[in-house]
Amino acid sequence: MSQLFRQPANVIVSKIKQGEVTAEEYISVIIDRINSTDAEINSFITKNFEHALERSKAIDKKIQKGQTTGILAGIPVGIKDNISVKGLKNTCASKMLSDYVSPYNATVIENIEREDGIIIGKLNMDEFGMGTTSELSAYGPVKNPWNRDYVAGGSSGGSAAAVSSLQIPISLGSDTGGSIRCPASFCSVIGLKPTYGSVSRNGLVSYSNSLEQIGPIARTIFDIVPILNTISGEDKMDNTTVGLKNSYRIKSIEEILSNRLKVGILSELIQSAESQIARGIQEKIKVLEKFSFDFEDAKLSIIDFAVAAYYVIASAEASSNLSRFDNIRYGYYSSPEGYEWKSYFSKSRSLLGDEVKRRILLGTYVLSAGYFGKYYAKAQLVRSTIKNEFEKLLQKYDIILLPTMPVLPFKLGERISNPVDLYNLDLFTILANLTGFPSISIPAGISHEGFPFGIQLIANAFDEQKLIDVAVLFEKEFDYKEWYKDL
Amino acid sequence: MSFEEDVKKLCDLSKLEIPDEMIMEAAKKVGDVLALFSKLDEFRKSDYDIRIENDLRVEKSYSSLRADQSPDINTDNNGDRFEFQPLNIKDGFIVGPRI
Repeated sequence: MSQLFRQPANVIVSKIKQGEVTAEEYISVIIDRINSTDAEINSFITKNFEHALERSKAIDKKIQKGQTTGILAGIPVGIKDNISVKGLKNTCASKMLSDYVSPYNATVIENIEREDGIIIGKLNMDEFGMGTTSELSAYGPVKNPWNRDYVAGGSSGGSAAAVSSLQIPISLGSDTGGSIRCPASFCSVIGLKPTYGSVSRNGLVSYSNSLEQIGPIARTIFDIVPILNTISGEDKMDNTTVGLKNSYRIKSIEEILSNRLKVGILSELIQSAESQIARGIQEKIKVLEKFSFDFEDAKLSIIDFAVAAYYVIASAEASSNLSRFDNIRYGYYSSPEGYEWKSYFSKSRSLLGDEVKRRILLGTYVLSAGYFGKYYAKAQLVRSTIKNEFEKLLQKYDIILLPTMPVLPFKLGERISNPVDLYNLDLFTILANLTGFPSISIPAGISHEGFPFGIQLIANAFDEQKLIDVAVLFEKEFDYKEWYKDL
Repeated sequence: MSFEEDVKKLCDLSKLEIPDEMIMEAAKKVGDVLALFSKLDEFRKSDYDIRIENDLRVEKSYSSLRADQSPDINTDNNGDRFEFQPLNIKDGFIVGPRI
């Protein structure tokens, strides 16, 4: 019983529904697990244990009465701390919102609760999602379960570390430039960024709303499918969602292989990654060749401009979106006595972290009248060109394959003082955000030093099923769900 | 005007306070990022086959988004009719995602 935390969600749901274990027993095991490990990982900002126990008892009652339960019955789901959960703090890992309690549920939370999932708590992250390491949190850095002196990746570092350290089987993150896939790669879990518009962003605290998307993290693709089915679909509260309700499923190996998939490999990007990552990914491709996929080298000509274009757009949107944190609409209590409005506004925003301030300043700069054409308009042209190139590639290939990150996890504090260095690490992941296409990071190997790295797959818009199919083959071949560090 | 002064001006426009003793460091890091952004100067539109479609330029009048007014433009760039029927409209305006 005490080892139930090792089991994936899909196994636990069956056990709960068949009465082999109660939801309350399982949640109690999970609470013990979180309490015994979180001091080392720092993945939780807010714990919701009392509510979780109440919900588990209610689910047990439903089962006892023979009522139908949802596909996530009794499963604890951790939520990144920028997704609103009614009655819980929604700090975005910022001092600015340290006392802000969300008055409503994000649509994804409503959907999870409808399927009898249990919100177990809010997870640590880079402040407002701005970072690649999860060190930029007002609540301290998230530590990588594989080595606690190393970064967990970001910005959804708490979401990945909590799943990787077997605290919870499933979490939600948000991905603006790789914020789900980067920590998934660093912590050896699966992270999926769905197509832009396939999951409602209602209730997600916006940082860069044309780029970001909520998505799931889990240890096995068998757990990604039910949570993706739960959160995706059109939402009247978010008019950017699209009215395609795909029902994703795990296909048999035979069914997957009945379609000969064409895979475009971005070899130049693979070669530019750290040598162990490049070698590891090439080895995995060789193993997959037995599945008779068609592998071909694919090329992107405009890659050099991607990082600059991405950060111009993200900063511009950040400067607009974060203007609401002014202590009038959102913020903390601070007496306005002695201030006129502008100085009060500036004073109250002094609680924002350095990286957040930097991006607001940069956004203000690139949107200013004299520089709009030089930066923002050009960045949008680059974005369109990248999208065009990807569309052409995806007419030819079913899947584009590249590494998730060019580097292995690095030491806490090692790169924190150099923003440009960190921005350049996002090159491989920002492509899916600039284009809006779905992308998944799958564990691809462990370095000699014992650090995980991931392989990234990108598919055409709303073709998440293809990503799932290939992930199933990977899981069958490499059994990566068993790659975790015991704490 | 020094770049530190520029950053102070930016702080003023952005309603942000950065203490004087930290302005130099902040200015250096902002300068480093702007140097990264300058990579865009090398981008030449003519080097690429750019198809500008709806993702970049959507020619819709504001009134086309209002349920209480008949749209004065109801064709796209090619002269084809487009239909835009958002699910959630309040007082004639689209309700976007909260926060």
